[in-house]
Amino acid sequence: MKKFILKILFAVFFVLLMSTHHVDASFSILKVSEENISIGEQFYVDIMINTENESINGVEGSVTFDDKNLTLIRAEEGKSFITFWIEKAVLNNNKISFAGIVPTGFSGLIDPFNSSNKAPGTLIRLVFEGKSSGNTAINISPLSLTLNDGEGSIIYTAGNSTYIFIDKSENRVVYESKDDSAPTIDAYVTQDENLFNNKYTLVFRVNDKETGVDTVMVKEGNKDWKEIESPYLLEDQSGRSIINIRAINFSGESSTLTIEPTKKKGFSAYNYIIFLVVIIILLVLKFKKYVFKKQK
Amino acid sequence: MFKNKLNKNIVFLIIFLLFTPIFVYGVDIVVNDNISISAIVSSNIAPPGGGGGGGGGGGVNPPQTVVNFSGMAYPLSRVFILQDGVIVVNTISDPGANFSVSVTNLSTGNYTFSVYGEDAKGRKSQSFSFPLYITSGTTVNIGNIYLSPTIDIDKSEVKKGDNLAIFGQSVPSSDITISVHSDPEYFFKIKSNTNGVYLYNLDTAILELGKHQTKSKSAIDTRVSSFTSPLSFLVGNETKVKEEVLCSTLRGDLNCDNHVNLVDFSIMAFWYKKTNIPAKVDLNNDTKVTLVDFSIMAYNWTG
Repeated sequence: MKKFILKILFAVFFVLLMSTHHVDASFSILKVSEENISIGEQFYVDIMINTENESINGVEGSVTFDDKNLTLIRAEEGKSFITFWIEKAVLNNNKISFAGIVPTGFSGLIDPFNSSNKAPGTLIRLVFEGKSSGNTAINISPLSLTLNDGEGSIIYTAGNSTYIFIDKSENRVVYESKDDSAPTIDAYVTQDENLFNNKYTLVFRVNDKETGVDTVMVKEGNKDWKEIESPYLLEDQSGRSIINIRAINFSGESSTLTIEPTKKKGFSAYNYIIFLVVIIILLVLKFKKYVFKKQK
Repeated sequence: MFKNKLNKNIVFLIIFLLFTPIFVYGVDIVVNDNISISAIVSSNIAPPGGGGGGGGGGGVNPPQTVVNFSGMAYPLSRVFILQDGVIVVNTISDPGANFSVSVTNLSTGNYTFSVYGEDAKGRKSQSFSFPLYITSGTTVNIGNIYLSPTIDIDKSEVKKGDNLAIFGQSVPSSDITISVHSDPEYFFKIKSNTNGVYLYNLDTAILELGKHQTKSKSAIDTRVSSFTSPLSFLVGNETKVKEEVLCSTLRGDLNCDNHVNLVDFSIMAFWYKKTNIPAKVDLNNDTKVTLVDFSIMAYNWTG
């Protein structure tokens, strides 16, 4: 009987211990379009996350690969559940790093025709090309995920890998995503003491539901088009230039947004007041002169 | 003897299996699971042309892609719909707190829609998030949304034994549960009035000295909302009325415009992984801007 009670106590202790540690059920998935490719052949890897119904609102991580075997062609973010990129996927020494958030949280993609099941969400699509023959790995590091709990609690996924076999034969195959839609642009000119010392700054978010946005350019007044990233310190700090922003997706489709000048050309309210004061002074002087003449 | 031992082991196993799920998974109970999400393929046949002209007749229009949202907020209050973090439409709920609103002009793709309400005093509800895969030409209906109440308190510090007013707005004549998170946690039940307003005067004599939190949720018929974000207050030796703040109390509203949106995100992104950061952008006070700060901002996002 004593043994039995001890067993019960042990079980209760074990269960309580389990309940105080958060079980990180989320995991990453690497989904490849082709596992066996030739030299010169392009393929993609979708980096996906299954949150197991946990609501997350931030992701930070990296993907590594061997550049002896593979070349990164591009990173497509069009299908991503991330809506604001803190750090867009950039390649640096065979490492593709990224970080982003999804406001109000993501707990799995809902298919409205079958809403009972939530599907894993795509984080990013990486397009590679076979460079030299051999077996090679694409590795995803343990991802840092923040819970949508108001405190930014961090959980981690385990690392994951996928393997690609590159044949000696050469076969030039270009992977192109279908994209008939143009990107959308949200942009504002703003001033804030914590952003370029209160200078006029352009902030924007571009979005493309298929391939993702390749380039964003700006044209201030009559100046030339220039490739930029958000936030962008405007060259013209007078606030009197028309600003055009153009977003181009990986299929070459583009859209342009025009922002009217912050300050209107011509007379401002301040100028009108000065003008009015000068007129009044002139009238008073004229009137005084007239009275003085009459008195004489 | 052997039979007796076997029986004990079976009893032990049954107890273990019975209680394990309660302890391990009990914290992840999902509320608001009565939200309904359904979809139909939109018809692309236009209705026949108006009579009298003789000609015309039905034409083929591109099928509309629509997402309809409906549910309950607060009487005559504003309800906002965000598409991928940007406000795309807002509406005013009726005197019974019911709202219904649609988002159109969508192409095929993944979208994250969010819904939140704002009461007459500008206090905001918790956001609902719906990450959806939308196919062009479909009508998606998201119904039975039941927004959390709004909540506020009249004092930041209250003298033990004095009253603390806990108030806010929800659906008219709904059952409000107020939680005061202390050790132990207290629950108080009241009813909102015909305008959805509720007020509970908490006698703080029952609370220990120190920091406490309060939050509320609402229920009507079979619908139950999620809890509000918790508000903190102190039980001490003096009473301090909550000061009117010049800047928004929303965590993440860096430019004090009462919204947490792209502009605030851009300010924070400017300081990401930099040193000597302004205190305002460091939301968790760890002297650096990391994913955690962005996560706090994302939680409080208003678009």
